[in-house]
Amino acid sequence: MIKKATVNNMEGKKKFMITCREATELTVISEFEKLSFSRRISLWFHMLICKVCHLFQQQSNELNEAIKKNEEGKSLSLSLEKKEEISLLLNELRK
Amino acid sequence: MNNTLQPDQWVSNYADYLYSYAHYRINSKEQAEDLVQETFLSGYKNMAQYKGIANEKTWLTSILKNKIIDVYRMNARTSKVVINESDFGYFFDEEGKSHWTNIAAPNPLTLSGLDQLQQNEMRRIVDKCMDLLPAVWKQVSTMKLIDEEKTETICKAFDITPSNFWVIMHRAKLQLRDCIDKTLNHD
Repeated sequence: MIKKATVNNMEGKKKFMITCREATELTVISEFEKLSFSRRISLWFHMLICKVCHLFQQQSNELNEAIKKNEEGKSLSLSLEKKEEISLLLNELRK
Repeated sequence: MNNTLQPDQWVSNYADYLYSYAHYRINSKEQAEDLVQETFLSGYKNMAQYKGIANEKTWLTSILKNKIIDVYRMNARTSKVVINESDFGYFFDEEGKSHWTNIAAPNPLTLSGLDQLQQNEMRRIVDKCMDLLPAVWKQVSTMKLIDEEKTETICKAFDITPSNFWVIMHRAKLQLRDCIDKTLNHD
């Protein structure tokens, strides 16, 4: 069993007001996992009062999209020599 | 749906795809080439296990995926992944209340042009910034953001705790955002 993700700085402390560093970490976590109720409230409140973190949240989402799209269109070519080598090996196996 | 395997077509159909896939995740030409070779060979030897549910490409990719994770595990055994507190100093003022530093704070103008960029221009920038991450951070982020793997799977592959995993994701995301931002505004 893997224990629930915790923000290192926040471990043990249950506080309502969080710092920008904590807020951005929670932002990243919340893109993939559901936060606990108290964390969600803390993050929500921080976003109300902090424009910079709010921007980070938006841009972080855009980044996820960009990174995903970026890899999809990737196409490198395996060298011809290596392709021939692999084909030969596969032929050997087939005998 | 009836999927069948046609190993005589593998190299011409999937070699480039699998090579690109491996290269992005391993970042070494030779190692990526070897992984493609191993994938085809072990695919051929394990053809009997193919149930025909996934298509050929998906099936071969999943073999490659496991081989990549094996490489990560091997690497994790020899070098521990560490993140220093000081790694955050550029972004947040740790002396005071952990507010954003002036140099790293996002502002409304930054990244605004990202969606208007030409595909290949954006690809160039994202690539550059991904490659500037420490190798392990790039691998961890790729597994989460692109492959959408479970946190547990990633933690096992890199031998890290979930808490370390999120610190890496957080730190990598801060750096990527900053790098793309600064590249867009200086080019």
